[in-house]
Amino acid sequence: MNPETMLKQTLREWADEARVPHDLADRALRRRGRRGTRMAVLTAGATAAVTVAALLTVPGVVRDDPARRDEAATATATVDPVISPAPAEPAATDVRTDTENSPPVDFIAAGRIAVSAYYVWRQEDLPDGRRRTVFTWHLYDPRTETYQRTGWSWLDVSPGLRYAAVLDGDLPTRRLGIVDVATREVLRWIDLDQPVAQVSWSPDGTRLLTTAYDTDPTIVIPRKQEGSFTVPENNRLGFHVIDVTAGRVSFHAVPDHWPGGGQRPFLWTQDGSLILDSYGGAGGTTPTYYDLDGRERPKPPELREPGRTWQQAGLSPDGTMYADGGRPPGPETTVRDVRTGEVKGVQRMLQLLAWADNENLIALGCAGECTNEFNNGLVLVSIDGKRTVRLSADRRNSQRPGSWHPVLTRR
Amino acid sequence: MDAAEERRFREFVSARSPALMRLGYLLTGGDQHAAEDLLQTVLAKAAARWSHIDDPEAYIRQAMYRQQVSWWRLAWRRRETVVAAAPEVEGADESHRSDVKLVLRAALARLTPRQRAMIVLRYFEDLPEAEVARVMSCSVGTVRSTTNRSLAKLRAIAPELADLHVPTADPLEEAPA
Repeated sequence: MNPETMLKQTLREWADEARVPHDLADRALRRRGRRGTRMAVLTAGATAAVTVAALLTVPGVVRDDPARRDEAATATATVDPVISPAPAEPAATDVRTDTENSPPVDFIAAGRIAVSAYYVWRQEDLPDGRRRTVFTWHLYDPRTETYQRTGWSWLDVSPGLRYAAVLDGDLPTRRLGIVDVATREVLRWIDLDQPVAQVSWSPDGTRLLTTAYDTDPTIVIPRKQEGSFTVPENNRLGFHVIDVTAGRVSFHAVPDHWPGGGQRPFLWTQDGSLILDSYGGAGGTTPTYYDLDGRERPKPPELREPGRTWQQAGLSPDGTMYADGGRPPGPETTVRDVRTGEVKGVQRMLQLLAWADNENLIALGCAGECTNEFNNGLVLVSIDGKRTVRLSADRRNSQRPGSWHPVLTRR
Repeated sequence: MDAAEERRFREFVSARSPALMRLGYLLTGGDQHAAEDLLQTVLAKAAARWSHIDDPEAYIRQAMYRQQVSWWRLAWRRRETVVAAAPEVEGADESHRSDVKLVLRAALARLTPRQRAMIVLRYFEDLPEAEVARVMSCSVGTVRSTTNRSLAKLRAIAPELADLHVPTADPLEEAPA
C-alpha cells in the first residue's frame, strides 16, 4: 500500500469511530432559541420605551446634609423591566486581535471575554482653576465589529455584550440609560434621585450598581509644579442597585468616613451576591460588604479578600484557581490552587485581568523588554506562561492623558 | 425560523450528521466530545441564519474548519487525544499495516488543528489545493507549505510515510485546458 493510500485509509477508518449524538438538532435549536427569546423581550422593551414616558425619579434619601453623614437609609421605586438576563454561555469563543491599532479599531476577544469598550481620558480646566477628567468612550459595534466613539460620559457593557448602561452629561449625573449595543438605541432612561459617576453591570447581567457622589470625583486642584495636584474632599453618597429585569431601583445611603476625595467605586463581588466597599469602616480603610438590599454583611468566610497581590482576574471559571501576584521585582504573576494555595503556573505578565477559559488568561503584558511597565498591551497567556498571543497593539505610557483603557466583559 | 424551515433544518441534521461528525472527529484529533462541541456550535450558527444559507453542507463544513482553527488559536486547549507510545513496527504483514495505522493516528493527533485541517481537506475530502485555500481563506502557497510541514511531522513520527510528499503543484492546475 503506498503511503498516500495508507494515509487516506487511516483517516477513513479513524473517522468511522465517531459516534453520532441523536439530539444534535435539538441542541443547536436550543442555543439558537435562547437568542431568539432574548431578542423578543428586547423588542418589547424597546417598544415600551417609545410609547411610555419612562422617566422615573426615585423618592427618598438625600444625603447632602452633613449631619446625616453617618446614617444609612434606603429608598426604592420601580420601573418597567427593560431587558432579559444574559445567556449563561458565551455566543462565541474565538480569538480576535487588533495588533495594528492603538487604541484598537477592530474587535478584540479571546475565549469567554471580550474588550467590550474602552475609554480615552484627558484633563480639562474648569473656570475656577480646578481640573477634571473627561472620559471619551468607544463602544463595540457588532454590525461592523469595530469600536465606535460615543458621547456618553461613562458606560459599562452587560455580560453577553447586548446592552450598555450609560451615564449622560457631566459627572456626577442623575441620567442613566440602557442602550442596545447593536442599534445604539436608548431603550430606557432612568432618572435617579442621586447623582452618580460610575455604573457597572452585575456578573449575571440582571442588575446595575452605581456609585453616587455630591461632586465630580475626578476633580483635582493643580499645584504650581506641573503634574502635581491636590485631591479635594468629596462626599460619596451611597449606591443604587437597579434590577433591570424586575424593574426595581433602590438607593442605599452609605456613611462616608474617607477623609479625602477621588473615585471610590462600589464593586460587585465576583459572584454578584454582595457589594464591596473598599473604603468602608470608621477610617474609610476597612473593606465592608453589603447585600443587594443595602444591609451590611460580614465577609463570607469563603470569599477571598482582595489583597495586595490579588489580581483583577480573580477566580477561574471553574472556581478551582485564582490569579495572584508574583515575586518582586517582576514582571511576574501567578495562578494558584484555591484550596491549597499551591502555585499552578507562573507568567511573565504585569497583571492578570480576566480568565479567557480555565486554561488561559487575558493579561497586561510588557511592551518589548519591559523597561517601562506603563508601556504595555493585552496578551492571552496560558497558565504555565509558555504560550502567549498578543491581542492588542502596545500602549505607550498608559498613565498619560490620551491613553486608552479597555473594559473586559463576558461575551 | 418558521416551522417549515425548522423541519428542513432537522431533516438536514438527521441526514448529514453522520458525515459531519466524522469530519468533526478527524478535525479534533479523535476527541468525541470536542467533535460534538464543534458540530453543535456550527449548527447553532447555521440555524440562526438558516433561511439565508443556499448550500448548508458547504456552509457547515467550511464553518467547522474555520471554527476549529480559530478555537485552536485561542487555545492550545490541548484537547488532542492522549496517545500511548508508538508501537514497534515489524514485518510487512497485516498486523504491521495495522500498527502503522495506529502510529499514523497518533501522529495525526499530535498535529496542530490547522495542520490537521489541511491534511483532512487534502486526503480525506480529496480537495485540490486551490479549493483547500478557498475553504481555509489562505493562499495556495500557504496550503502547500502547511501541508509540507504537516507531512514532515508525520514522517518524523511514522517513517513508513517517507515516500509521501505533497505535489509541488496542484495536478488540476497543471491539467491541460
